[in-house]
Amino acid sequence: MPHLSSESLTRAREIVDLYPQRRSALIPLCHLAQEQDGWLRPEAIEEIAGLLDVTPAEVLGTASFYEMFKLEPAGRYVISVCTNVACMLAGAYDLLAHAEERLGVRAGGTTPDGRFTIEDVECVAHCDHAPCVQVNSRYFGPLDAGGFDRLVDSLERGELEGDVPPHGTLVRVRRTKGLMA
Amino acid sequence: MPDDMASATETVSFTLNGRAVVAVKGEKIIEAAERNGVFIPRFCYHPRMRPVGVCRMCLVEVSGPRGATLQPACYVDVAEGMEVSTASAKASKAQEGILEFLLVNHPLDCPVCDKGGECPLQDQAYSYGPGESRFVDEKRHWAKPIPLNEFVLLDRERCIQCSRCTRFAAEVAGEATIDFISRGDSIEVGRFAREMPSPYFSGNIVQICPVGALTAGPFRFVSRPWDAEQVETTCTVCALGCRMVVQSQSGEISRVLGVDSDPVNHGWLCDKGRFGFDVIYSEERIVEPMVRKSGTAAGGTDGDLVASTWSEAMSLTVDRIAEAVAGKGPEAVAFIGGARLANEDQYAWGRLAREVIGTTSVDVQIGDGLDPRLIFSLNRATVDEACTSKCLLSLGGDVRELLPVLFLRLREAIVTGRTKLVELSEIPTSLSRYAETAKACTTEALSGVLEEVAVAVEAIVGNKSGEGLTILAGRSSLAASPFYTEKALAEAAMRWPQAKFLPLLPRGNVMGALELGLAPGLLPGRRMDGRNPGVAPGKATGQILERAARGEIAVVVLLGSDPAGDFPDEGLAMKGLAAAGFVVAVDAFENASTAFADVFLPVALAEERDGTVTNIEGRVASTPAKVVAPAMCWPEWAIASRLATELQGQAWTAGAARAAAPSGATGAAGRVGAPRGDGPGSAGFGYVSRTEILAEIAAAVPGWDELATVAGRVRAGRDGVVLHSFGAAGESGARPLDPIAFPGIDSIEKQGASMDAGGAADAGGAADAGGVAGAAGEQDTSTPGTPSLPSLPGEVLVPGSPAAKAILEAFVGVPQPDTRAEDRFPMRLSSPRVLFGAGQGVAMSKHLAGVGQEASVVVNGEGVNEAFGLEGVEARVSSPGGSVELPVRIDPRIPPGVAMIPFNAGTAASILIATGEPVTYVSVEPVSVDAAALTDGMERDDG
Ligand code: SF4
Ligand code: SF4
Ligand code: FES
Ligand code: FES
Repeated sequence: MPHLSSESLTRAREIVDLYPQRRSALIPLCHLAQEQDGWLRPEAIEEIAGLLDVTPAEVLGTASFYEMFKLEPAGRYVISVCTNVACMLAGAYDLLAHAEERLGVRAGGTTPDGRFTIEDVECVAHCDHAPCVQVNSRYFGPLDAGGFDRLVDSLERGELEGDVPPHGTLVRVRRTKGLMA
Repeated sequence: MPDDMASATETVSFTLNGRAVVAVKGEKIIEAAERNGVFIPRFCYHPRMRPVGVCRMCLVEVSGPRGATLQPACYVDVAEGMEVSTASAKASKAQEGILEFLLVNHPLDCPVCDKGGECPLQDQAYSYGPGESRFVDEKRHWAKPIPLNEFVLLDRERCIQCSRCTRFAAEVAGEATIDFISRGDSIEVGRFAREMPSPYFSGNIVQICPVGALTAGPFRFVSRPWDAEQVETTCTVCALGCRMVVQSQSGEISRVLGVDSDPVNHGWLCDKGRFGFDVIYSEERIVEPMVRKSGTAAGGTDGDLVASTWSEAMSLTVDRIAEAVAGKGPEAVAFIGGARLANEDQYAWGRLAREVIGTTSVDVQIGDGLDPRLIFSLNRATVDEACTSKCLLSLGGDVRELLPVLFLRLREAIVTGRTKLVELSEIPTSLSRYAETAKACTTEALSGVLEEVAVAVEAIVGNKSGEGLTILAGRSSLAASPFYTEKALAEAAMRWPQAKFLPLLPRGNVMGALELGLAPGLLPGRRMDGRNPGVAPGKATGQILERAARGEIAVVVLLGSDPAGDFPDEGLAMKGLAAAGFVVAVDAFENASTAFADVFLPVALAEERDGTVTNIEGRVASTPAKVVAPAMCWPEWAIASRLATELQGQAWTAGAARAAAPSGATGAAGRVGAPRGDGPGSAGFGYVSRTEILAEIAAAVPGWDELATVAGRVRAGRDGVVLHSFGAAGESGARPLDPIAFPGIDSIEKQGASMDAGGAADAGGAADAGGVAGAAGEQDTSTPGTPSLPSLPGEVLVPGSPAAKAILEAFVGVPQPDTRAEDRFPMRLSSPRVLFGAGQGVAMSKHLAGVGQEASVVVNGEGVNEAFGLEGVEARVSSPGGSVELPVRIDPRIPPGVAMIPFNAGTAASILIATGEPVTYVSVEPVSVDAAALTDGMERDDG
């Protein structure tokens, strides 16, 4: 029983065809699966392995190298609080502590309703807006505690639906010419 | 490392620690230095795997355009004029630094680590490390140990990320079931949760891990290296004969390790060979002679086998054999099995059967092999020759299931591009994915398909003579008569006279038995038996069982064999054994067949007895004893010898032997059945030691004189000696034992007997022993596909000889029996042998408990999917011969219309197979689902 939807599977095959070696499509396919499920499910790992003629352990080994592949269920919104130097000097630790308090989970955790995951990350190259966060790779900052609360409120109310797609979504525009992946 | 500098064409000169030395072009610094006597420390480098340069332990100073820099010696090729310093201040500092880094997160728990005392990390830390650590912070912690599979435990804290294990899995075994997970200081070796490293080769990662991160469950906390004794020996579990050491502590076997033997196993072992040794300690082992008491002894199972004495068991056996011969003639005594025996045992039992008793009803193969006369008429390849041939043509058989380490050798040869595989098989095998061409082909279609692929094969080898072609001679399925495979092999040999063959016969020492007298129709040394065989070679066990079922066999001797559990036709085996007058089990365990035994004679097992074995190449290698057998368990040769001696006391035997002696046979005939008088108080055989038998074999058996040297001593050879090496390579050179590549072996003192027989071999052969040139054999041709072979008495089967040609022609010339599916049984049964079946080797081993394969029927889902729905549904599989219920598995790789049932996972397959039928057809019906709908689906698939 395939885990990937028929649409994902079609795209997966297109992506595989772009490469001279099947296994080269490993990372793009992990993105594809994460886009479908919000995280890399074991079923998806097995299916990717099958599509690429590698073992599930190899898919897991590669995916686990990258923080941006989630091997456990992640919230619809993954909030990455930068704690690297520029942000730290601008109060990132306080921001992180506030975020943990507001959402009731520690960094690395996901709220029970599955809506938010918080994590602390190194520099995300938004230092000029320190302290900053990313939500599903979209930048917000500078943020103080109040700003963070307003951000979470808007996310909860669905007001940022247009700006912040669900976790895993890389792009919402598909090319229709040339390299289609 | 090139074995032979002389054969290397291009060399480069370089300076090693100030000394001018020569390397082969393309050689890595680490290899060239080692050959020139300079050891460079290393962890990730392994001589049997590609270099990766990840651990940096091998940093040395190398001169270059930018002055001297530190470079990894395992990764850099030696270049002309290069200056290498392995122990300069800079290099030493680098090595110290790397070790300090490696130990930063290492728990330093050597006192409780299984690797302690033989650990490359420990050893090299002492030799090349800084002596103390500056690291004061908290080390990382993991749960430990965690199981990777049934055998292997992982302690991630000890891992130094050398990637030997992950590379072994991907590069050598071809299944990357483990890989590095995560990165930085949270990196760990891991597996995908739902996928375990398969239990084929996983023990090797334990052996090559340079630290104690990977340990073997069966060896955990069992022994310390300095307490172990060891002996180098040969694995007898399958017929590849991997070189290995067996270690023991306080007289009990503790562990088995692979030895890096160039011509055979490259240091690898399969998990069955490595971990299955504990069968000898099974509680189920029979350790004293037993005799069935009360009730009718005549083949009855009433009454129990009860402990007895050797003298009672022996005299009962002798009396029954004597009665049988007196009443019904010598052919009323039959011998089945013997593959587990050592060469010497086989020779002794063969002489007992042929010379003393006078029967020709002997067969080591239990309906699962190939005709020995055909095998001996084919050019034989060594494993090395197979791996370097341009083309491998497989006619069936999954080498990973049959001869596991041969799979590693062949796979390597294929993936490195040295050879190309063309595979014809009923169902896909573990090599199919590497094949140039893999064709699904039923066994009965082999001849025809061979014709089709001939052009492709000839294109690969670039000639029509078959030069550079090695044919793998195995059977895809035991549910099809061997005749089809035999015919195809003979045709291939006729078509390609230069082609070589590697028989894929898995049973331990089956080749020794075929060479030394337990082959029907053949005397020791591949000599055709001129007497009325009474049996058709290659099918003898089947015929013995048929005759037994008709009441014609009075005594059946089971030499470590279990026809009821292991013969392809279970019904026939049960009938035969039940009807046999008297059944003697010479074995270590009870099994389905010993339920019929009237006498049970307990034997010493491989690690308990000295001897030699013969592998598929014809390589004879020693298997010295490591531990002592339980007091009442005898080596098999001693049982044969004692039986012979007692039987020769009977009037009929001496007379029979004298009458049977050919007039021309002189000195040799003196041996036959006549008292030798040189044993202590014995007559006839009077063997007092195994070495005496080996010396006799070397002196007397054609082809085996390769073992004998001038002084009458028997040649050992590091990796054994290849018999009948008709111009082929024999011995290999020295083999360094590398304590860093294969830790655990060299650190221990070697001891134990070698193959050197020591005893002087009698001059003059006993080769004619039993070679009675009688009337030309009247062959049983009633079995379909049994060729009427020329009798050729006394001819030695040497490939290319007129006798061998006549044999090949006979096999080619026989018409193939027709096969057709009946409506009632629309599917074709395919039944291949699997490694972890239900046999004693797995069932009696605690270590292997849990890997034994469950019986199931595997079908292609197409067309039957709706009916079966999910895997695991029970199905009734029926054939004209019987019916069984099995869980179903769906596997799209199985061709439609085929039902696959592993042959040796229980008796399901042998209940279905009728050996009288050339091919077995079955029906598969879900136990609870509408059968008609299903069968319709199958018929569609069939057409
Ligand atoms: S487990 Fe052993 S072999 Fe595998 S990477 Fe770690 S140290 Fe090397
Ligand atoms: S491949 Fe055969 S000979 Fe080698 S270890 Fe395994 S069972 Fe023993
Ligand atoms: S330090 Fe926070 S974005 Fe650069
Ligand atoms: S880097 Fe050379 S041995 Fe590891």
